[in-house]
Amino acid sequence: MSVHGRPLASSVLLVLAALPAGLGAAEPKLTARQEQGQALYRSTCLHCHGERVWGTFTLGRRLGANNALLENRTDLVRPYVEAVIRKGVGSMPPYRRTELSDAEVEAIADYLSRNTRAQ
Amino acid sequence: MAQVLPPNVSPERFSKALDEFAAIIGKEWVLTSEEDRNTYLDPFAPGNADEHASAGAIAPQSTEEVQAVVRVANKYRIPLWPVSTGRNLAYGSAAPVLRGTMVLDLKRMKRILEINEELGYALVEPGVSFFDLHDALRERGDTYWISSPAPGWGSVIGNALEHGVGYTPYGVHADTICGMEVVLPDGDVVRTGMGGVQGSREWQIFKLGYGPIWDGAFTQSNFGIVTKMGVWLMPAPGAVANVVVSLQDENALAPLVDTLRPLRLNDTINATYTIVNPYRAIIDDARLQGQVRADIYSGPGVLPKDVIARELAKRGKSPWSVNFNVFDVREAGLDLRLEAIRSAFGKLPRVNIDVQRWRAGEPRPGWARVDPGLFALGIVDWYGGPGGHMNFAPVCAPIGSRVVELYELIHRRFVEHGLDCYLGMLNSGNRGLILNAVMFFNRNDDDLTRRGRELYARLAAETAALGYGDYRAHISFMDHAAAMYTFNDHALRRLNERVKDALDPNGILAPGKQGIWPAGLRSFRKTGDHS
Repeated sequence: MSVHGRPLASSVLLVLAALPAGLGAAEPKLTARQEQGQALYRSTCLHCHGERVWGTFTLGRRLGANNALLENRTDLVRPYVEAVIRKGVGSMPPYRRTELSDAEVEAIADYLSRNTRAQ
Repeated sequence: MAQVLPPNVSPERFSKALDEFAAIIGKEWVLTSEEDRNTYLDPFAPGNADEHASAGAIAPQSTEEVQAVVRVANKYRIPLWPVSTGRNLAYGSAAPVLRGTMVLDLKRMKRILEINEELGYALVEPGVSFFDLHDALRERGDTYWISSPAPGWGSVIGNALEHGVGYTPYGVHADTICGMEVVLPDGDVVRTGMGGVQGSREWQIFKLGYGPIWDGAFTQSNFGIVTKMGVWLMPAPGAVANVVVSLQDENALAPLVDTLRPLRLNDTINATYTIVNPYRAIIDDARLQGQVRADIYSGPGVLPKDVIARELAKRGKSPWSVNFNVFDVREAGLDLRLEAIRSAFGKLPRVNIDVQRWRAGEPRPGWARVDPGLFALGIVDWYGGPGGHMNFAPVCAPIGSRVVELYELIHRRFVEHGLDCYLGMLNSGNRGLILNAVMFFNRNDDDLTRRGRELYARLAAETAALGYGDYRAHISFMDHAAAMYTFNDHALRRLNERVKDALDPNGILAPGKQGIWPAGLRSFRKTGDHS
């Protein structure tokens, strides 16, 4: 079995290697809004922010491999995530209100910032 | 960013119009804040995005709301730029040609009104994306497949209207249109084809109707706002093969084109093929590895010949290749097609033919290019981010000698302007070939962007003189592309503008789109005519 043409075992190792310390353990249960944000993130953002795709490559170049996968980050704060979605950054186009409502943007920000301690 | 107003409209008059728009669709869907307006700028603008800044956006949710908005726009002379999902990337995204136009954002109209599995069609609204339709078909067991462009972010309607291309036998998306509902520039609403019959159940199965076929007139035009559209869906095949033919000879383009032509003409190859030039072979592979240009070469000018040779060898690529999928209802049929393909290409020197196969029941592979994705967007950062690109894409008959002549001119000009000549040749239907030459730029590099713009204008003028026309253009170059259609002192443009003035006397609908300007705004036309 393979993912993106690589053996699954090496894919798993790559993800584990990219995880920040402490995140390999079981994560706390998601809140309802974080679950909504997770679903939105995976249907909307993962096309460019999944493994070995454009956004992840770009972030890896800028911030290093450990910070490339957004779902594993521990330094994302809600206002920053919301601003990036609404304003875009680099070559990432912004998302309009007709594409994602403010509540949906907040849910994605809630999900991506769930592992950030001080906000 | 300062307030942007429509041409010849005072702030007071604009404010009154916004109030009336809000009364129709609700204040929250009249989007005029700076943050909202910025989301409608072209994210890949080849230059200053503010040249095409909108005055804001209006987002109705129904055909009736679109009609009411259009009537107010006529009352106050507010130009409207309809977009379906507004992701026409590399062609302007959601931004209008004319600065100060209001975007009519139809993304909220996103219902799949019908999927008819007996007859193989869908009836959709403009906000339905390829992802949406793909997911809906998947829920029904993938008995029908969509034809998705690369990337698949956009609208099913919008892509077909803009003459987009996919990679299945249904890949000429404008050809899959069957029946439209259209709001005209005066607010009237019409249904085309059999939709003209009240209560018709044949709207999505017979294109011709009675009288002129109007569907084509509402593609790449500014004659109406398409609010519903029928799209034919491809029944799931029984077997598919992916074929990559690689040729090591640098002069292989002409024989490659001449070998493809009869196979495509008789439908042995029954889907869109893509001929890949050396730059594209390298850049596409680099994208898969997450590399950008600086990882390969950082000197001046285009990639030198020795770098191209080195990178092709390193990546196991050849100077010329063609990539396509072949579809059949059963494996035995696919075998016959592949036998003919191997026989024809096997006659070429220094050739390699790679084939992968899929049969019904197996998971659908990525190479089928049916499941939409956004991975193709990664190439925009070739020169480093924030990146962007635009295309020059003339149409040429698939005759080897003619294709080589046109390709060599385009390549020479890219080299002279110092831009890597990323070029793919896509067939549109059985006969047309589009030479899609992509100009990448880094939006922080003004000189590179300027050279790209100059290159487009030069190629448009020079190839028009040779008898070629572009099939699609960025909003900054729609006048240039229209000017290439020179027969009888631009008679086609005159016809378009006579129709425009008859349907849209106030000139409120998408002024300048495809170089078609309403009478009152023709002074905004950018370019003189090629002759």
